[in-house]
Parts: sequence; structure tokens; C-alpha cells
Amino acid sequence: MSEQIRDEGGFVGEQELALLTHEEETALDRYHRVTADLGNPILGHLGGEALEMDEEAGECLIAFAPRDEFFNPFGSVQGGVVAGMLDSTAAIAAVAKSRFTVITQTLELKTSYVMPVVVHSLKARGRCIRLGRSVIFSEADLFDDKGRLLARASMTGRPVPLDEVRALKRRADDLKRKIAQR
Amino acid sequence: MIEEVRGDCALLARFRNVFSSPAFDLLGGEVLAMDGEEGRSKIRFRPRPEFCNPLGFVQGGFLTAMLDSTAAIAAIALTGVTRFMPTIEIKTSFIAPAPCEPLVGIGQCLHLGRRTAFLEGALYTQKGEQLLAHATATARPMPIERVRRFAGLSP
Repeated sequence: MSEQIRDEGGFVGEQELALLTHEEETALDRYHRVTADLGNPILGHLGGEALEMDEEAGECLIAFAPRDEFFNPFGSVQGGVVAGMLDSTAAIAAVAKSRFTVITQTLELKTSYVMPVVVHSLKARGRCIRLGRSVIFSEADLFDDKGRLLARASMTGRPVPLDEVRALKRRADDLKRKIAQR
Repeated sequence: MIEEVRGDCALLARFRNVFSSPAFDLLGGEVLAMDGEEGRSKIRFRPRPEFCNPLGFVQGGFLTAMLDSTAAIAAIALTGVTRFMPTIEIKTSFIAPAPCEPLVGIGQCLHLGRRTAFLEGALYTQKGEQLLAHATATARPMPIERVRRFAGLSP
């Protein structure tokens, strides 16, 4: 679809591309389009799959299926992995609220581990409380298949416009090369 | 924006009977409603000009104190006012600057265990049009008599 837009309209900047919407395109479609463009391998690794996307409310629902290797010796999902799921979910809620014009860089994340996560079928609800020009506040809750609250996280982040994302990625690659040369 | 908190008058009366806190009084705190079934609280605070930073907004530490009380009272409601909630950890997000005028806190107990409770609080402008700050806290539920004994008060 993005190739078609390029052909018809000549050059289209990355940000404008994300902003271009089609009447039949849902928020979930837009999520998939932007994700396909930028990539988000971590979410897939966590067994994450976007189910609902609400741009108006700044909310999202993500299903997670943790792998066996995410469990700690006492049979529950390790806390860092839980935090990872909630970080991704809170971030996606904020990205949805921006109508897919920014992605987020987490500056701070705090998790309350309410109950041990022992099942493989999970759902996380993300909710962006505030999307500012320089600061984002977003939250996420993790539930089991019976709807019981397992964990809650709140994050503070920075919005990064889509066209800045590639520049950041280049900078990270440069840094990686410099470190390798030392 | 603020969800209404169903009030339980008997619970509120019992709470007022056992709870006396100079810090809560300093914050101008007044419990408007306690819901023992849902573990919720609604509190009004009247910040003083002395609480303000040079910009004239309520300083974040005072907002955290308000959220701490709000969240704890929600969990105390869920115990039927049999336990107090000493906080062992709290984290606040300061979402918008808080004006020095009456504010409303809504508390919610997320989980009440025997040894640990998870709580949250949200602070709004009086009419509820703006969310100002939000906190999540972890607390250690303790029987009221034990807290009072610990503090050297008669049970």
C-alpha cells in the first residue's frame, strides 16, 4: 500500500506517509502499517499481538503469550519480562493516541507486581494519560484469562517523531561501530 | 472525569473515630467518601500557600503526600477499617501543575493481600476537569491495634 502512495503522489516524507489515512483503514490497520515499516521485533518475541487500538481514547489491548523460557525457577514469568510487556503496551497506547505520528522512548518505568504471572494467556490494556509535546505519561495493566489484575506499570516517556526514528537508529548503529573499533 | 465513589457512612464514622493524623490535617484533608466493597476513597484537600513552589503551584512532595493518604484510605476502607496501611513504596507522575486551590483525590486499592497491598491514587482539580497527578504505592497492611501499640498510643 505504501508503494502505491509513493507512485501516485511522487515523493512522500515518512511522517506524511504515516499521516495519510484511508477511509477504510482502521486504527489497527494503521498500527500494522507503521509497525511493518519501522519493525518492532521485541513485541513478537514476547508473544504480543495487537487486538484493539483506540486513537481517540489513547488505549490499546495487546494479547501476550509468554514462552516457557520467560519463567523463573519458581514457575512464574520473570519480573523483567512482565515489565517489558507493560512497557510495550503503554508505549503503543501513546503511539495510538498520537495517531501514529510519534513513537515513544521510555525514560522511566515502574511496575507493581500484584500477583504472580503463571499462565500463558495474557492480555494487557494500555492507556495514555497524557501525550505532551515533550513528555508522555502512560499506563498499562496485565490481566490473566479470567480478567484478574496481575501487574500494573506506569511509564514516563518522550515522543519521537517518526522521521527522527531513523536518525536515532543511524546514531545507535554509529555508536555500535565506534565501540566495536575500540 | 472523576468517577463517583459510593459512600458508606458507618465506615466513614468508624474511620474518623480511629484515624487522627496531624499530617493529613496539615494538608487540609477531609474524607468525603469511603467505599468498603470496592476499596475506594474520595478526599478533598485544601493546600496552603506555604505548599507552593516559586511558580505558585503546589510542590510535588505535597501532592505525593496527598496521593499517599488518598490511596491508603481506599485500602483501609477495603479492610473495613480494621487495618492501617503504612506505605513502603510510592511513585508519582506529575501530569499537570497543581493550582493552590481545593483538590480532589480518588483512591483505589488494586489488591489487598495479607502482607502486601497495591494501591493507587489520582489527584484532580476540584471540579474534576483536569488530572494533575497520579501515584501507585505498595503498603504493608497492619492491624490498627498493633499500629497504635507501636506508636505508643493506647489501643
